Amino acid sequence: MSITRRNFIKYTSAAVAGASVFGQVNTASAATGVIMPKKGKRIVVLGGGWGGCTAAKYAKMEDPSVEVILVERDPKFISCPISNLVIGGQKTMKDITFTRDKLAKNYGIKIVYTEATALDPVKKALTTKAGTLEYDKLIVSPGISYDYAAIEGLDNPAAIKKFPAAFKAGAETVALREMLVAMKPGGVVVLAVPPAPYRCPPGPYERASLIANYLKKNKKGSKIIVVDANDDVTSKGPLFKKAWADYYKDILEYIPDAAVTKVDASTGVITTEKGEIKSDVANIIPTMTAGKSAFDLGLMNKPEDKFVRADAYTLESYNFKDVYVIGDATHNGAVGGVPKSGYIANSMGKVAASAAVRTLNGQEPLAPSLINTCYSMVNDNEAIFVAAAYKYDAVSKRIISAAGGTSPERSVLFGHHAEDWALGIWNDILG
Amino acid sequence: MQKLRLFYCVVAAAVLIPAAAFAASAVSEGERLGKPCAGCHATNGYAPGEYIARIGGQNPEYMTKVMKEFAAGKRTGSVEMSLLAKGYSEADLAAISEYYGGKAWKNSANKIDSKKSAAGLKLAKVSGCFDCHGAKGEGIDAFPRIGGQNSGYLYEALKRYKTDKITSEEMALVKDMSDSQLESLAQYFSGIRK
Ligand SMILES: Cc1cc2nc3c(=O)[nH]c(=O)nc-3n(C[C@H](O)[C@H](O)[C@H](O)COP(=O)(O)OP(=O)(O)OC[C@H]3O[C@@H](n4cnc5c(N)ncnc54)[C@H](O)[C@@H]3O)c2cc1C
Repeated sequence: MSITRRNFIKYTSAAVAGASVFGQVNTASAATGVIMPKKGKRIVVLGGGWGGCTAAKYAKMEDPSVEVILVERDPKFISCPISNLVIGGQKTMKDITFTRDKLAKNYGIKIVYTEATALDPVKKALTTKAGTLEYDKLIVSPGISYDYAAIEGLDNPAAIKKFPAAFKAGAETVALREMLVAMKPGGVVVLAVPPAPYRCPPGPYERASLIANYLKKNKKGSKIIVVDANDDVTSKGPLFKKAWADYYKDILEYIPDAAVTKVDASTGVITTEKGEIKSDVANIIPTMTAGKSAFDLGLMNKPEDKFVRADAYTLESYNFKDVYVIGDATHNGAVGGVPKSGYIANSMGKVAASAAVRTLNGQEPLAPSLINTCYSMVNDNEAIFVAAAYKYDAVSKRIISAAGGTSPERSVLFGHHAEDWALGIWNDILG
Repeated sequence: MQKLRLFYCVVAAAVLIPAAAFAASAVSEGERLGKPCAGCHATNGYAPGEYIARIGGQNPEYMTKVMKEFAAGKRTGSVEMSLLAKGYSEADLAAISEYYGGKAWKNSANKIDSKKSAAGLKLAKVSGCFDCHGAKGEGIDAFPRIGGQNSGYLYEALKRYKTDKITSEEMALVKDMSDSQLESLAQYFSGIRK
């Protein structure tokens, strides 16, 4: 392997202490020695996305004396929220790409850019490609993985490239945008919605709206066909359908109960339960599971589980003491009926951080309190939303909705709120 | 006034502490419940956008009143807050207001149109805005801080007073103003940086 350690592992300036143990790390993949030996109380956070960055920051805010180490594979933070606007042409990748530098600078969080590979819950050690990190508390927020194998013909590099999912913002987002721009007028776009539960329930429908908006303005005679594995629009259904009827009547076709069973990368033919469609561009969003690391780290509680069971009060995993799981990776049957959203991951990060810090200090954890608001743009400037407050229910031992609902209609003001929501929560996660 | 506010705090705390008392916690009930609000209003309530209110350092008395009105469906123009506030008890809403109200205020960094702002200052003087909101819009007694608040939010709030979506005797004076005058007022007060 020609990649040097230095290319692989980047410590922030706050993590110079770790540099002294660099010498023990032989190659990026074979490092097993302990790096940054633990001195005092320590929380390790795995995953520097929406849940993980929040947890790291709020742990430090609650108790600055606790050492917090954040383990993340990707040096860039690319936001999924607002990424549909990159696909629709209203925003650019620059608008949704950030660093995590302020977490190191403002809060003294040590960030290790590497990949976690295994967990020893008895020794309380997380193995990464840069070496092993000991912890008192581990908070895991690995996001989601795609189950490409569930669709025939999709689980190979050519098909994955041809049918980008773009449900992890980054190269896939750019690829999908470029395909839409390159498509000839009169082309057919297919957007496949995966079976629930998946990350961001309204996300595929917002994207369908914004692609329709783009086609309407730029690609005369084109169409987008939304094939849904679910029996109806899974979120804000009446609001989306009204927008589609009002704006995209001859452009957007919605077909429920039409799970994709097979794709053909050489012809672009998409086979669904309701028939075949020849596509020019196809956004196939596969079935989702908890991020692969959740499986690798042994966090699955039952053999058939696809998401991680955790206690709804503290978000501590069923499997291992002192290991908390947050965000999209959590199992709704265990934690309760919260959506897999960035806002919920952000709220969960605060809950787990507080539970970890308090129990580390010999205090009782406090009851969880969460909020979700999720805006969807339906064109260049109008949005719809869903909002809910969540609390712990001592009877069912689950997080339940305390109040909530959707916007009564779409509006330009909600469009402003959508944009400002993103600015506010990016600040809360990274600022 | 200062005393009154302190008294209020103590009362609110006395109502709230029992559930969490055994934990000997440094985290107040307002903090526990209020932390998720930062998902829209940003850390410490310093919302960086234009249309979502800054709440860190806002007058807690005013905030408590408004939060209760959200929950009671009396401010339906704030659609999100009208839905969310129903998920909390009155004591919860007061605790959250105290939590954010206890932060230091930081002025908005919104871009301000200097022409509109100048027009807004003139209008504010003749309308008597400073009598209740203070010379720098910092808020007096139960009247909110509006100096350094985000501009889009102020404009939207003024429009709601004008159209009776929020009823208020004191704010009835905006009913005769045009939307452009309301925008000028919003621009002036948002632009206060002192
Ligand atoms: C198109 C789209 C639009 C969306 N819009 C909204 C919206 O408007 N509002 C909203 O609330 N939510 C929205 N979401 C959902 C939101 O993005 C997710 O719910 C959120 O990202 C979940 O946070 P997380 O921490 O669980 O996962 P992520 O944010 O995905 O973070 C996981 C992180 O873990 C890292 N990681 C994983 N495994 C390892 C490992 N082994 N070693 C090191 N690092 C690892 C990954 O690199 C990643 O950075 C949207 C999603 C999409 C796709």
